[in-house]
Amino acid sequence: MIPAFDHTGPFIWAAFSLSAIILATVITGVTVRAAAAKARLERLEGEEEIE
Amino acid sequence: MKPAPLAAAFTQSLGEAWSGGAGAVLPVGFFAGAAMLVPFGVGHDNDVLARIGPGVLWVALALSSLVTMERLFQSDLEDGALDLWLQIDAPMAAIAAVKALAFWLAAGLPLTLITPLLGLMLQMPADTLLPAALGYGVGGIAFFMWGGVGAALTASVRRGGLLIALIALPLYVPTAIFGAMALQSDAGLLAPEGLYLVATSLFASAVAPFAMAAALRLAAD
Amino acid sequence: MISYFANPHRFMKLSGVLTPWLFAAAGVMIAYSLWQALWIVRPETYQGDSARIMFIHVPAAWLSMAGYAGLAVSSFIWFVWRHELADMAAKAMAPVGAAYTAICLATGSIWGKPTWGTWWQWEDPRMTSVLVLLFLYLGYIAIRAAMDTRQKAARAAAILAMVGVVNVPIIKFSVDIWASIHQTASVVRLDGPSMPAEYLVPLLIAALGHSLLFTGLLFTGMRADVHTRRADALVMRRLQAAE
Repeated sequence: MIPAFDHTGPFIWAAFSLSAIILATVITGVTVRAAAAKARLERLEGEEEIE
Repeated sequence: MKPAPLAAAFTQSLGEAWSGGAGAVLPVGFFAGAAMLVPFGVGHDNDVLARIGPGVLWVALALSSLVTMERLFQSDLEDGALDLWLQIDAPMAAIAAVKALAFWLAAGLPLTLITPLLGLMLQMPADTLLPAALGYGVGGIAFFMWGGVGAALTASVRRGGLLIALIALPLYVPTAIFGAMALQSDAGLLAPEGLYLVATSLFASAVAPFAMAAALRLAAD
Repeated sequence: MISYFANPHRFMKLSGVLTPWLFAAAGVMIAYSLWQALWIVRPETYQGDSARIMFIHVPAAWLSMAGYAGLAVSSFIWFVWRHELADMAAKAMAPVGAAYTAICLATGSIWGKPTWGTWWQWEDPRMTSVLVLLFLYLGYIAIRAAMDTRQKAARAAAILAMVGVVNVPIIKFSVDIWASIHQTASVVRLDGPSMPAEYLVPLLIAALGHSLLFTGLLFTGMRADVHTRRADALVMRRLQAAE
């Protein structure tokens, strides 16, 4: 059930949506980079074990 | 303290600022050009121009100071002077300060000297022009000091010009604010804002050389 | 070399355990604050519903400033003691702090439109200061990216962070004076003349939730950095062994 706001409604939704998008971008960027770094390390360590 | 590297750095910087790119012509030309663009952009209403004139000149001064910054430490890095200074344990903060001051003398001072002319064209009242020039002179020192920090940090970066601007502009804000406010008040440099303006330049002169020295050491590695 | 591996090892163990909990707690708190903000709290007396934006705007403002302070302190610690984790912390804090700064500016502008009538109000000294703060962040991120080696990036960025943080009080002071000269009596501070009590608890929970999110992202970034360094060290060792 979406709350009904006064005439400032669109501003409220805009503010929260924009913030959510920015946060989602940063969270995605940081976690993806972290996963990539970990994968690279594990791949390199795996190669070492094979040798 | 060895005076020899200081004096050498000073005269060398002075010479550099004057020689390459026809000396002070570039920043002065840029300054004048930017200031002259304003009436075309804003309209020729004299009251409006008179009100924004001092502020416009502050902005133009800030941007013009950045125009020369790239060259401040470039040649020292390239020709090995920087390595030499570090080897002989020269006082890097003093050398940096002296170089920035030399650039101010070569580029900043001419800018200051033409502010009365530009101010006249921007319809600033004639009796404010000389005190204003004093303000621009003092503020310019802060601009050249902080610009120098940007120049030192980006000394080893190719095409660091824009990065210098990004680094320096937040640091320019207090000087621009107090400078513009000082020129708006009747007491000029003696108003509280004017004293704050002088304070920002003193602060910059105290802090920036050490930051420049640290940045130069890292550029030399 | 030894001291480098000792401390990060402990950090990796601790952060490995802590980080998922940080994200979980952050998620719960932020969700709660959103529920309160959008459904539960009543409209504010003067600003109506738009005051609800405070629940994201104010925590973002706090974190933007805390982030830069943290970045500066970490930079100083690294500069003086060369504690590698400190540099990694500074590096990881920058993008997250910059994001919250952007959120603060965007939500402030959006909140300002119905409140002030304009998308930007230079008379609000805090918003103007946060705008300058955004450029300080951008300069930090840019100088790190411009340097060739990791060591140089760390040193240059540390110098810039220390210069920046030392200027922050001066910038704040100058902007406050500048903004106040034209201030009319009707300028409303974005978070209202007095905060209703029912706003305070959700606001604090929102702030705590976002702080935990910030910390979780910080740890994640630092862990990524440690993994990258170990991987790079592995590659170096193999290249040297191959010679």
